Amino acid sequence: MTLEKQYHFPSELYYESQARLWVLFEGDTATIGLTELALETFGDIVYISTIKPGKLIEPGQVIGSVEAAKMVDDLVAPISGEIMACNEEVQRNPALINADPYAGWLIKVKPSAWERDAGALLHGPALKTWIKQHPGGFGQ
Amino acid sequence: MNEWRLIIDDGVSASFGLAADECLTHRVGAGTSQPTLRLYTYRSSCALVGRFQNTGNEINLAYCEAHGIPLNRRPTGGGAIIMGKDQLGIALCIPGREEDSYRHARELMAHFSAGIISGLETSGIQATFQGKNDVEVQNRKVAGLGVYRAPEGGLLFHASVLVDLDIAFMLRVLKTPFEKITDKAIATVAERVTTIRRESSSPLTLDEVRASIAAGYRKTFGVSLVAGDFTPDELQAIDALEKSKYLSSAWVYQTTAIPDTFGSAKIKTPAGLLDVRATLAGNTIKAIFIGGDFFAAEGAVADLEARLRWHPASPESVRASLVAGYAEHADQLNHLPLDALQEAIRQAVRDAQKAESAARADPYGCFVNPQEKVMP
Repeated sequence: MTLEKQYHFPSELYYESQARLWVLFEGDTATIGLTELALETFGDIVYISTIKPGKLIEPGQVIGSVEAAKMVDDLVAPISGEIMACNEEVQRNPALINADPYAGWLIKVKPSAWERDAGALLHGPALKTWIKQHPGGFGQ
Repeated sequence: MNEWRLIIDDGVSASFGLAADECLTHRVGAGTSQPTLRLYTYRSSCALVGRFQNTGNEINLAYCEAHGIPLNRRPTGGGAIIMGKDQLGIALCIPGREEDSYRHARELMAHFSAGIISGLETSGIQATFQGKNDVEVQNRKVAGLGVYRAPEGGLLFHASVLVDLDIAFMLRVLKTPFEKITDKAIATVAERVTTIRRESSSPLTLDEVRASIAAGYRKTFGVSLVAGDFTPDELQAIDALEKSKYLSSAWVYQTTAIPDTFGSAKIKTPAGLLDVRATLAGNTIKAIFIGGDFFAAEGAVADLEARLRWHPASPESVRASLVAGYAEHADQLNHLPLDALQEAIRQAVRDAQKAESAARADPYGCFVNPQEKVMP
């Protein structure tokens, strides 16, 4: 598959297999947000909803939804853990994410199996390989 | 040649109709159901809001309750609609390819609506895909579209094709910019919306339209359509989803963090009174209504409105789209000054944004959702 535009993938972040969500792991908290690639494909996001703090999540579970121009996408958890916070500010004002997807996070999670889950995420050499498999291209 | 199952069913309930579409999308994505084109009608009549709309903002709840009109919420986005025996529902449930994960909403809408456009062409109706997500005949909307991408990879393309439409009834069910349902209000809507029967030279039945659209999908996508029905497994799964979600008031009356806000502005211009109504979600214009007693071709005005649907609300962005619209319809809009229209839109948008600010000031207002979100 070829994507024609260059997208920015900061190297310190982890990405789920389609590179639509980023994960920042710091201390005992994982922060999750939408990537520039996701924003480009969705178009300007009008609505965002996520599940509420206190919920336990597993990879593959739906953690929220976004709508852009009548298209709705479910967001799928890239890691397991407990939702600690959801960003109500970006839910009220998705323009914050539209303007800079790496500045506006969606949820914060206390990971329950980070070592296991991180292995399935794109990062480091795996991210570089993924970028090579999608010529056209991507950049870090 | 790829094979799609064709399911035809009529008079379905709102909860079953939507549960079936969502359930098939999940199952097709997971590979447990075959790709399916469903061409169906709802039991007259029901009102369906878009995935993130607030039901009370969009629907006249008292009227619906008094007249036994069921309400429900689609898994797809977009605005509120009425569905019944004269509106053909389309649900195309197919497995998404990898590249579909990265395709723009507009591209997907245009791609999937090609079957409708091809089908209408065989009935002598020249429809086109316009703007971000509309199928129109000469600037009048004839079908509404929506897409849902399920986590398993299934894609649901939803469309409501207006074979016929009782506009007065729709204005009673849906909340609209009109304060009263007058002949003028009905005529104004009729300038923006059309139906297959209005556009066709012959009085087509819904079954004839359905057959044309099935043929349109067969031709456009190069597939064979095999008539079929839901399997027992599917019916069981649909029943479970219907009970857990589409019959749940938590789903139907779910609220969102961003309530739609409404604003209006009336300004006098040398050309006459300009009356603009704006519906916003955050900083996005969802819809603009341009009315008044100025002289301009309704088709050109409807095109301006279409250009501003799902559009950033910033004055610079609005002006850029108006300039593009005026360039295309210069002769038809020469009595409606662009600057005056831009100013009226700016005031209507600001009025809507004031309403949003007021809502934000209330800590237990629209931004706090007391109802638990129902996840699929």
